[in-house]
Parts: sequence; C-alpha cells; structure tokens
Amino acid sequence: MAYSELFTKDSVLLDLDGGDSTAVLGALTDALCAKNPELKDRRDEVLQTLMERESRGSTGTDGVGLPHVKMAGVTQVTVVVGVHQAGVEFNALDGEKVHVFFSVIRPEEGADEHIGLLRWLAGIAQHEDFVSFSCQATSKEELIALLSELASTSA
Amino acid sequence: MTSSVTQTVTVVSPHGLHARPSHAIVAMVSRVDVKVTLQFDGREADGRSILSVMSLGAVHGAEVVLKGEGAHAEEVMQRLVDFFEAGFEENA
Repeated sequence: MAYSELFTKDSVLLDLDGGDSTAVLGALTDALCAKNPELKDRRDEVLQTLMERESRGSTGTDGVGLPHVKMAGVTQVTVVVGVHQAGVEFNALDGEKVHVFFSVIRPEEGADEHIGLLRWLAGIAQHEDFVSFSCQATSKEELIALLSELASTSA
Repeated sequence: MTSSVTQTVTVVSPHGLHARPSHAIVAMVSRVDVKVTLQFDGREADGRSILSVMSLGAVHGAEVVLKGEGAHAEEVMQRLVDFFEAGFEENA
C-alpha cells in the first residue's frame, strides 16, 4: 500500500487551535481514536502514551511534529495530520513553533514498515515549502494532494 | 587540524534508525564543529537535521556510510560508531 493511502479525509485536521502541546495532542488523539475502531475506547491511554513519548524528547523540528508511538493490541497503522495556523510551542529541537503534526499509532511489530513510514513523512516534511503550503490548504483534499505531490518529488 | 574520516556501520538495532536515535545523532553532531553526513541506499543525510537523518530509511541490517570532516572528526565519528554498534543503546 502506498503511504499516501493512509490519509483519508478523516485523517486531516485543518484547524488545530490548541494553545499548548497537550491540547494539540488531545485533538490529534480524538482524530486517531475516531479513525481506528481499535482505539475507540482507549483515548486516555493513547493521549498519555503520546505525551510520555514527547516528554522523552520532542519530535518537533522545522515546523513539523511527528508524535508517534506503538501500542499493544493495535493491528493497523493509523495516521492523522493536523495543521495549526498560528503554530504552537512543542519544545522543538530548533526552538521554533510547530505548525504541522503527523501523529502515528502503530502495532508493536513491524519495525521496518515503521522506518519506511518515517522516511516517507520526513521526506515530505523536509520540503522547504511544506509548512507554508500546508498552512495555505483550504480543504482536506487539497492537503492530501499536497502530501502525495511532495512524496513523489522527495528522494 | 582538519581531518576527514569515513566509516561504514551497520544498523544492529532491530528497530532501525527511527526517530529517537536520529534525535540522539543530531544532538551529538550539533554540539561540535564537525560536518557529518550519513549515506544509505543512494541517499545522503545531513547529520544536523533529524528529518534528513530519518529520511534515510535505514532499517535493521542497513549499512550506513558515515563521513565526518572537521577538527574533531575522529572523536565524533568514534562516538557515532559506538552508538550504532550499541544498537542505539535501546532494549530490543
């Protein structure tokens, strides 16, 4: 499966507006749990796991955050993308605010597949116009199309 | 004195070169005045960029070519080689 197929309209949050990292992770968690029935009744656990992961070292840099964890009892990879126009403090490596978040919940197995997905996401996120283009997207379809286009042009 | 060091290392961690070790590598490299690049599968990553390092897609068993240039290249490269050989210091 192409990684771009992981993104459907219910994977996209165009209007993240949480004032801090906890609020943003909460909104991403809601979207993850709504998308994957396996996570439906595990909202608190998902949020706590993501927060713990970030507390061990921020996944934010270059305006992009990649909060991702593996969880027991999960059989499929779930990904959501969220855009925060104003940007939020995420303790990023470069000290800059984060505007675009990719959040991933994955099974405990499948390390190689996970490296493949990280490679795909990092390739997109490295594009110099990725953050500004994402913030300009006016529809979910537009953002998904942007991901596909940038993925096809990254190394 | 500026020196240049090239060394090939294998990703022994079963988890591959994922986000946390990428972060650790960038932290090691960013503290010193050494230009480090990592090469794998025809791609080259800047050792100061976590996104660049993650975009290598170096899975378990990957052979990564490390290059360091700068006054303390040998020290930095040794630390990086140790980190790779230690499986990124994480439990399987």
